[in-house]
Order: sequence, then C-alpha cells, then structure tokens
Amino acid sequence: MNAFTPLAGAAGGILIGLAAWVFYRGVGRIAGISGILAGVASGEGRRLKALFVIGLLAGAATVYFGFGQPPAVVSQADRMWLILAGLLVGFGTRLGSGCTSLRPGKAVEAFVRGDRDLLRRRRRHRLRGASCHWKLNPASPRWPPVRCSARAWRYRV
Amino acid sequence: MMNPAKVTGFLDFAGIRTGTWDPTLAFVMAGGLAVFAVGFRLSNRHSRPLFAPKYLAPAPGRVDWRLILGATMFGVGWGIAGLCPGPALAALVTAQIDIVIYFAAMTAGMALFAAFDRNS
Repeated sequence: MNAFTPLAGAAGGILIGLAAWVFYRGVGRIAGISGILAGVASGEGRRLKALFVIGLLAGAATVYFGFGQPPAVVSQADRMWLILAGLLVGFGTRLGSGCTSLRPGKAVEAFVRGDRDLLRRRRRHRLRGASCHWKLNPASPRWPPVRCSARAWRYRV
Repeated sequence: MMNPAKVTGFLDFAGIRTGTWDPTLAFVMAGGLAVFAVGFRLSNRHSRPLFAPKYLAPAPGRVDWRLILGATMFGVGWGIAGLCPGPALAALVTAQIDIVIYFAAMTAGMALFAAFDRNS
C-alpha cells in the first residue's frame, strides 16, 4: 500500500498542465505521448517530437537522480503480464487515437474542448450549411468533404 | 505516475472499502486539468502558436468503436502494468529491466497498430 500524497500529486499535475500549455502555445500541438512516440517512429514531425522525448527524459532523470531520494518504481506485475499489458496499451492508445484521449491528461483537454464545442456548435452548423450549399454547385471543391445533414442544410447560405 | 504502484493503488477501487485506496492520481488529474483548462483558452485567443503556423488540436471526434475498443485495451493494459505511455517513457531513466520490457512491448503494440491501420 502507498502513502496518500495529495500535495505531491497536485504539484505534479500542475507541472504537467503547464508543460501541456507551453507545448500548445508554442507549437500548437497537444502533448500526447503516444502520438509523439508514434511520430518519432513514423517521421511525422520527427525533429520536434524527438526533442520533446529528450526533454521529457531529461526532466525525469533530473528528478530521479537529482533529488537525492529516487522515488521507488515498483511494478507488481510479472514479465508475461507486463508484455501483454504493453502490447494492449500500445495498440489501444493508437487505435483510440491517443493516450491522452483515454485518460487523465486528456480528460483535461476533453473537458476544455467539450464546452468550447457547445459554444461553437451553432456556428459550425452554419458553416456546414454553407458547405452544403457549395456542394450542390458542380464547381465546388471536393475537399474538405462535407456531410450534408438536414440540420446543416437549414443553416445554408 | 512513474511509479506503477501509485497508479494501481488508484485503480484498485476495492481499496475504498478496505481503506487502502490511494486517490493521489485524482489530484494529479485535477492539477493538470485546472492549469491546462486555463492555458488552452488563453492560447486560443491568439490566432496562431508562437513557433508554428497554426494550432493542430484535433477537433473533438465522435465516440466510435475505435475509441471504445482502444480505450478498453488501454484500460486493461494500464490496470495490469500501472504504466501509461508518458510515465513509461519517463521511467526508462530508472533503467529497470521491467520498465524496459514494458516499453518495448508498448512500442511493439504501436507498430502492430500501424501495420493494422495500413491494411484496413
């Protein structure tokens, strides 16, 4: 069993939030580790993402080695289970488009995004309505693809 | 979150009754949520990020089978190992063999997905 450490937890959370903020404001991306790792592998935005990984490792190493008392890292699962778990997490996070969309970090953003979405819904429908209108015009661009819902149609220009 | 015991301590909701539940992770979430909620809004007041042409936050997508299945697989793996991708990466600095094995398996899972995604 572990000691309950709310202050350390909240402090860590705040640092994560700040890091995500800096990353978003700086380069306009959501700091999701699974996407970043996949990007390093696939080459999409590799330089930026590799730098992020290096920074993360440097930060972790600083805390782990620099603060005199390396926090215990204890995994209770045995090897075979660890491997199975790793495969599931790796596959699952990519399938679900990002570890952050599934979990704390992203509960974070999902929340924020959720209510922004409410505010924007009407405007978006109106935009979609406009696109619907264009779609019926043979000269209209084929991209981006637009779904023409009845609701969107009502807002057409 | 680098310590798997902390995560499994949180996920073990049976511990609520026996008194061994460790709610620390909820504080991590709350701290991150509070800060990023503000940061995300303030950032979006600017038309573009400081060092890139535009914000690339994905639009909130629909909840589809990919998300649900992915989340389920993630949850099972997370519950077993107590490590999600970020902390697993950070925990590599401890150079523990278990962490390295887990990280390798996770990377293999991602590669499997990439193969699966190309074929479907």
